[in-house]
Amino acid sequence: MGRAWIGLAALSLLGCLDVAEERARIDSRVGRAEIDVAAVRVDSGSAAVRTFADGELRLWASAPTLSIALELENDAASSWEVRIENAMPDAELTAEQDGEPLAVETVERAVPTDVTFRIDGTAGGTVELSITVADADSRQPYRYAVFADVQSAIDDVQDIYTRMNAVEDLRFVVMSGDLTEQGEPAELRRFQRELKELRVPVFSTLGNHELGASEGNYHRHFGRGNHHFTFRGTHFTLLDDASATLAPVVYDWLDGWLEDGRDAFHSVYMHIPPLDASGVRNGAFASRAEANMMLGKLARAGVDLTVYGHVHSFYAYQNAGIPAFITGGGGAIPERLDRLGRHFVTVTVDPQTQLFETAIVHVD
Amino acid sequence: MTFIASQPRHGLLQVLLALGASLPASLLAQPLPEAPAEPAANLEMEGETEPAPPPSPAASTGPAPDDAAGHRPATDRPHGNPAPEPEPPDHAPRLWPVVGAVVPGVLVHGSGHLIAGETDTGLRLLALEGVGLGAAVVGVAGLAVTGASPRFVGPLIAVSTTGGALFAASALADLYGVVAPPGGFGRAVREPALVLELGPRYVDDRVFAYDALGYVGASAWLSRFRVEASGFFGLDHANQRLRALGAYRLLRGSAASYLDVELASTHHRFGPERFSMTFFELAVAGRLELQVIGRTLQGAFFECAFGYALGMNRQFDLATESDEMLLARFGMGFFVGEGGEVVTYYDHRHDDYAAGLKLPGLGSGPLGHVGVRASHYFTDAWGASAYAETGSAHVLGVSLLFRRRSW
Repeated sequence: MGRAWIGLAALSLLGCLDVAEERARIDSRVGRAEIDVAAVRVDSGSAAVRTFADGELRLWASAPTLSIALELENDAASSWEVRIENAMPDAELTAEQDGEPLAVETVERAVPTDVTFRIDGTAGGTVELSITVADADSRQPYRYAVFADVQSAIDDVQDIYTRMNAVEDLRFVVMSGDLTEQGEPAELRRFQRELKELRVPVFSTLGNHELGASEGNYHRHFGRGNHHFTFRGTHFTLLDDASATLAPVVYDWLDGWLEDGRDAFHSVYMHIPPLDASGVRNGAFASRAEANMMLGKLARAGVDLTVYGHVHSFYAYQNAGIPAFITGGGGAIPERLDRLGRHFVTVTVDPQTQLFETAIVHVD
Repeated sequence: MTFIASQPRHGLLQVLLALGASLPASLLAQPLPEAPAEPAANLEMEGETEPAPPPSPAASTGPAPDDAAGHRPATDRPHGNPAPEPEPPDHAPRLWPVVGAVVPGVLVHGSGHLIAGETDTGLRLLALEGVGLGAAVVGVAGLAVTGASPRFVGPLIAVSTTGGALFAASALADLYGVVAPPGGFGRAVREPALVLELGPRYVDDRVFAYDALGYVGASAWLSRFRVEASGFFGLDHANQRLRALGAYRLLRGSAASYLDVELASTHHRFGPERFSMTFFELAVAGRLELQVIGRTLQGAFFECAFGYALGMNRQFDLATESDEMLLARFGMGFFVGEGGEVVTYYDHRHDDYAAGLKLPGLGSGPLGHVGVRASHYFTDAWGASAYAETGSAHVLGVSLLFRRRSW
């Protein structure tokens, strides 16, 4: 009998069911930090706290706009430098305390997406910070780009960014994972350095290749894997399915995000397609049942578009009736015989009509 | 159809005991006891009705040359002499071959047999490991080189999973061969006319609410044709998985070596989640007795199946979309008693309760699930089975079995 239990235990270890839950727990802690004299909380965890010291806050943004609460003790610094990386190129910071606006000065905008502000006159209590852009609440059409799967092709990624920089009116880029080959901190930092050449921010989720080192590296550098933001009334949901599944708690988060976006244009991004365009290949969820269950949720909530990576080619198809794109043209080993090469996709969306238009942009 | 009465009959408990609890004190490697003499006669070809002669004591204890098939001759006792009192056979496995089958056997497959002096079998298992490893490397390298192009992905997955299965099977066969008594723990029963199965199932799935299901299955043989019907029925959830299968036995050697072609259909309905999956399947499935590799592997087998499934995913009131799957299944096992068996297996399916493996790191998704299944008949008609699978979910099941050997 003892041997039978040992066998079952070994079998359980082989197939670990909780492969994504730790990352969901990390997600829930993103955007928070504390020191003796201060604490910071980014609303919805929409930015990774890279540095937090008395008088200094450095964030990596994962959404176009941010709301930040800075809780200060009486002996905290009265002047703060707030650096936002991966910011919208026209991002502005406003700050207020006790309903009164605080003086904010733009100290440096080294590159379009890296801006440092200084806030003076802070005191003990809560300081509310808002990173905004002028068109955040507009309902005019706009354009963004999506891509995935750079992996080991980081040396040539500037070819893609150069082409993206040439796209007129591009507001930001969404990336569906596999930024790196193994998810090592050095690789993640390299990816961030390369992004400085892109004139718009990249909002991303992670792919399975970010799990090659240790879980949490991605989150420390880029923030949450599961997150949601809005821009011009349209909704964006990015999901961490790097383990070919979603953590159970993410389904609870997803239900809320789907309800929020029910009456608007809502697009969903993840790395691994729930269902591969080629079922024999199954570059997809580990469970077809889970894939269908999740797609049913998206379809019934009126999701308009799903975009994936993982497969290093381009596919356009439908899943649960939702238009789906696989665009894994970031430079990783390409699918042979597809005659595509590196590419990305642009999406032009009209928030009022919820209609959208896509185009594939070839880099090679 | 007649069944040979001289075969060893071992219960599941004996198998488990032999796998570790009853290791003898001997620390010296010695040649394994001879296998009982019957395999050539035991290859029940169609139409055979006579039982094979019982093994002689000489065949079970003394040296005798192998025949061309690697089997001991059935009778080498001098005529006219009374048979000596048979010595109790040494069925217990020896320590060092068993240890060797684990370390270094986990890396050098066949080590257990090499230590036991079964050099030919050990080298064959080592070669099988090499073939398996080579196929797995070729398959995975092919996937990388082609970027998993749909034009090549089916054959490449088949090659890589076959390689992995041969790699695992050669290690398990080494362990089996040094643990199992001569003749194995049991023997196959050829194509029973009817098998009924009934029992509960438990599913530990972190995503779906169901966990308790009932299972009922029936399998019937008529000549070379087999039909099967089975169903899982949620006890706490509106979830049903129904399957029907028809098969034709293309080739049959012994009761445990055969090749079938199978046509099947599976329908899985998730009521509360409002979707269903339906697949139509064509597969070729076979099983091979491993005594073709060496006499110590009598009673063990390797099985595999390849196929293709075409079907649809239906979101109720929303959309119906086509889908397809590669079918591949590999198992390594041995017989227990009369028609019972223990099988460890890999199943590439991603559409059932266990579905594909979730693994830490970057490898989740492509692989199917693994499992172990054991069955044993306590009487000629009644038996029980149990199985455990792990993939995206853990699945446990026990069943009561009923069979009729002939119509």
